[in-house]
Amino acid sequence: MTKPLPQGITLGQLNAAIAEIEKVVGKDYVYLDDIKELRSYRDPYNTTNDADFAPSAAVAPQNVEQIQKILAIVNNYKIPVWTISTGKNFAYGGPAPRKPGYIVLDLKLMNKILEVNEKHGYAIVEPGVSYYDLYNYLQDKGIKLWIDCAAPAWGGIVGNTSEHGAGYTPYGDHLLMQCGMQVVLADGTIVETGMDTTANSKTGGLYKYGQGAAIDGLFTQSNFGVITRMGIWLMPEPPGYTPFMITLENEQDLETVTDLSLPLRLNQVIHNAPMTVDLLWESAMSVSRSQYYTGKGPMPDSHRKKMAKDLDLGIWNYYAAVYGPEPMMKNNMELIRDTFSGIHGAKFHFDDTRKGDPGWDYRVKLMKGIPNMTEFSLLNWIGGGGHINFSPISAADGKASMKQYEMIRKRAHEYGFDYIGEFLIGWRDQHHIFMLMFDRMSAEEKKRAHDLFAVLVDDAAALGYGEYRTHLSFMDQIAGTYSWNDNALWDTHHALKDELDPNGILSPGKMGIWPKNLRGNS
Amino acid sequence: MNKYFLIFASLLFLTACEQQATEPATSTESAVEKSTTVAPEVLAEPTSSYVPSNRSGKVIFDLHCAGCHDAGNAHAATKQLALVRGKDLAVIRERKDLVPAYIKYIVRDGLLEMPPFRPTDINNNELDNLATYIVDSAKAHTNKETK
Repeated sequence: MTKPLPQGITLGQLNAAIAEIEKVVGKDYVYLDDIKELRSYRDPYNTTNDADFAPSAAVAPQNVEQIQKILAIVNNYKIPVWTISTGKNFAYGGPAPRKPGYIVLDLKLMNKILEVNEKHGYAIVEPGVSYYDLYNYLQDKGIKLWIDCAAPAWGGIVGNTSEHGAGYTPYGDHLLMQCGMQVVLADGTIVETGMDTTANSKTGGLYKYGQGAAIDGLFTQSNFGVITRMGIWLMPEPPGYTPFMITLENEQDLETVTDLSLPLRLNQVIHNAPMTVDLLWESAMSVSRSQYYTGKGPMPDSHRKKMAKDLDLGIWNYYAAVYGPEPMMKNNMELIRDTFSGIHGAKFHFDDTRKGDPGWDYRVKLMKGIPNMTEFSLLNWIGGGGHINFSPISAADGKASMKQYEMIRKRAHEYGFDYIGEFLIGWRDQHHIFMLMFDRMSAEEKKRAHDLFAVLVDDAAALGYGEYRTHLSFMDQIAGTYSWNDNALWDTHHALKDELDPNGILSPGKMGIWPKNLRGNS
Repeated sequence: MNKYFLIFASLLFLTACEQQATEPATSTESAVEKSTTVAPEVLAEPTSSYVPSNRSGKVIFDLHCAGCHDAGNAHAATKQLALVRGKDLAVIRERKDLVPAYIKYIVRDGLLEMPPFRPTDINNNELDNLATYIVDSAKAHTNKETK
């Protein structure tokens, strides 16, 4: 296979840079062989071609000093590196770079848990630490703190937090729970944010802001630096935990359940982010589509209804939990029951009747921060594995939810795909995740999925919705929807990019942020 | 617009061809000489006391594989294999048909629903350990069944 090259870089320059990098990290930690190693850095679930995101090499530094030296080398040659931590950002591009030829800067080997403070409830971790790693560490040491993991949980704290990921316990807003970070800038300068920048700091994991501009967010979903360490708050194990599910019979119930949820969420009666999950998502935890329908196009309503009945599921399935001492949980559950039991056909489910159902079991685990991979069962729905997430933000408002749901479902059906989705109520908003599943072995289906996604971005923008995160293929298109005041926000990003990374070496194109030498070429 | 794009794309293509024709893949020294950039000064030995991990096959399996491949309905790959290959081929640690070379290839390359695993997730020694562990587990399972 021809070596993919970054734009404007010759093979000679690339090889020269790689030879220098090998001297820094050791040959064993520079991956060049396409078949044996480098193919593992691709995004297997893309909607176009692997070649669109094929790196030229990957390098795995083991410490900050090596990162500084690598950045010095690539600055010299003006070769872009694409930073990843655990590299599991699947549905959004996995470990693959935005453009062919970049060198992947893989931080997975920097996997130390540097500190866990049980009393104050935080951990400080390196980028390679996965949710499983941190969970196992806490369990082994008997530390009574919970993690808040993504689903699937093979990703890590630094990567997921810096992608603005969400979880399912009361600490589910990951960036909100982040406290302090260490960043290496493109010129090799090491910066600590927050309190850790004071001499002999003792409060780095406790207070986020320090004095002056709070800049942590600048290094998330961006390419202004390489995060090499992060503090994350961890929830103390509560004295009690009551997860519940409410099955809802009608599509329109999304409106009612969302409106009823908001006051409970705003007032912390429900402590975590409630999720309203559609029938197909929920069913995919137990069955595959072919067991109910083998025809083409979206599954017809009659088959959906039969599946719902067989699996004792609703058209929507609402999950949430309360936490705390028994009397507090009892009080909150009474309020919750009173609130939702007015919805016609609404049925409450608890562990006593649902235990053993994989859909229920994995939500129960997620809402108490037990890492698991059950959600990957979604990939079984049609088989073939391809998936990409369309993730617009909606108001936590009934009518707005219905409008967004109907918009996406209509388009999905028009393009011959099932609507598979969930809404997750954050502090005020909802993350709406539409899981677009396709057979990755079918070029035709991939193209259709790609076209649908592009249309959805425009449809959503026309209705005033923006996405919170996206796949490599759509970063530019979505960046273009954040365009108010003649692209003032993106001009600001670009001004920062040019100042902090004048040679444009760090993850060019991440979320549509390009260095000046590549702007306009994307 | 399209015309300019085509011209630009053609130029890129030609430039790429030229680069590949004139720059041998292994010639690093000559490339440095040709480059107008200056190499950084300090570049001697690897700056690390890093010792590569050599975790057992079981540890690797539990960390990276069990989530999808353990027995039971919570595990995506097991369910899918049961559906498309039959229940005898559903549980990886109980399969008699898997050989180390195949396991190692699939781990690095992925297969359908399964993504590839990078050498930083599982290094080559650990991949050997993993493949041996899966094959040995299957043998142990067969022995248990035939007893």
